Amino acid sequence: MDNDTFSDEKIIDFANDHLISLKIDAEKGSGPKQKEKYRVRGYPTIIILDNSGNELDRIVGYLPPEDFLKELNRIKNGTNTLSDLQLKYSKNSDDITIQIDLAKKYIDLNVKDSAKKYLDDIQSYHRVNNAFTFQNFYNLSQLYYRIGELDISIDILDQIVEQGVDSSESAYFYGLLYKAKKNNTIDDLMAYADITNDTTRKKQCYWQMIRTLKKNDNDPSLEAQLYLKAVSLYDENYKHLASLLNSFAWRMTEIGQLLPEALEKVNYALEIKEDLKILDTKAEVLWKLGRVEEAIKVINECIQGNPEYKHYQDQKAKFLATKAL
Amino acid sequence: MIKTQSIVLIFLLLFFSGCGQEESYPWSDDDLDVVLNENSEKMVLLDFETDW
Repeated sequence: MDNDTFSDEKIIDFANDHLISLKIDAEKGSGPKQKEKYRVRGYPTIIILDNSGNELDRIVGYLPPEDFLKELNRIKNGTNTLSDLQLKYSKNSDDITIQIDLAKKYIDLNVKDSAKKYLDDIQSYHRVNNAFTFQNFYNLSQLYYRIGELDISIDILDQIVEQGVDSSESAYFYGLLYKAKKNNTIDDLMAYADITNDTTRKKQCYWQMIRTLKKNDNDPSLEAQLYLKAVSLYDENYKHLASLLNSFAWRMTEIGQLLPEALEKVNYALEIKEDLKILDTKAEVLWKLGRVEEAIKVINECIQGNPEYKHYQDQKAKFLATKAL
Repeated sequence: MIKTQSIVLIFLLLFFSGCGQEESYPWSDDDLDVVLNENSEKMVLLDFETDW
């Protein structure tokens, strides 16, 4: 964010006119306390408070300058903030779109109890009045999933499938995915991934299977094969390809699988992006392959790039220790 | 003549050194409590990040 969004002239102008900005390291000093107070779950999280300290809204994850400025203006104008949606709800509490937007907002703000209360109200009211459309019912299942209510989400998806109104098979697919997650199994997903031509769904199947296998920790060979298949579904236009290849290579070093492929991928990642973290992975892959001299050479480059980082020094010591054997 | 050259040189120095200074984002070093106590009109932006 510092390199582009917070360096952008328009963002700086907005900040000078409307904001007092504080950077909080969530892991140091008073950071952990503030992190808990404001229910921060990932980084970066930008929280905007009013001048009395009440949260107006938040922006989670990286945004480029133009999108970030739009969000700042939206929050400044009070559009779709929590208080705006509460006001709309007080005027029209039967409107399912407002109800869903309000529940979504509570989810974004990590206030899951309030989100669940609204989702339960939506379900009860619309069941009684038989007022659900497929899309609203489907959205409801996704929102229950986001707050960790897997059983309710699966139940709604099953009902959609039973009604036969799911022409895109979205409810069937997500039902399959959530059941696999709940039951910690991969067989149904494996079968679906083999037959579907939908790349997005194929990726979702692979990632869920990889998570399950990692969690179960009982079939590293299959985990590696699926990881390789998942990675091959991303082309050079994918924005985070270097990071993805780096993650693949590092995981292969952890489970001792597909190390030649890991080296190939990490070399490709370095072609895309020069990064010490990726270079560090390359050193680890080389070391795991028994190419200790090359590993030492690469980790030396990391140390040269960041002499203060202890991990690189530790890695070098580890490599040197095996060289001495 | 020398005086004119000196003035031109000073002007150029000021001009180019001014061009090199881009405005940076206005981060505050104050604690949140202090900011909330003293601030009466602006919104407060908290940027939660971490080193790793």
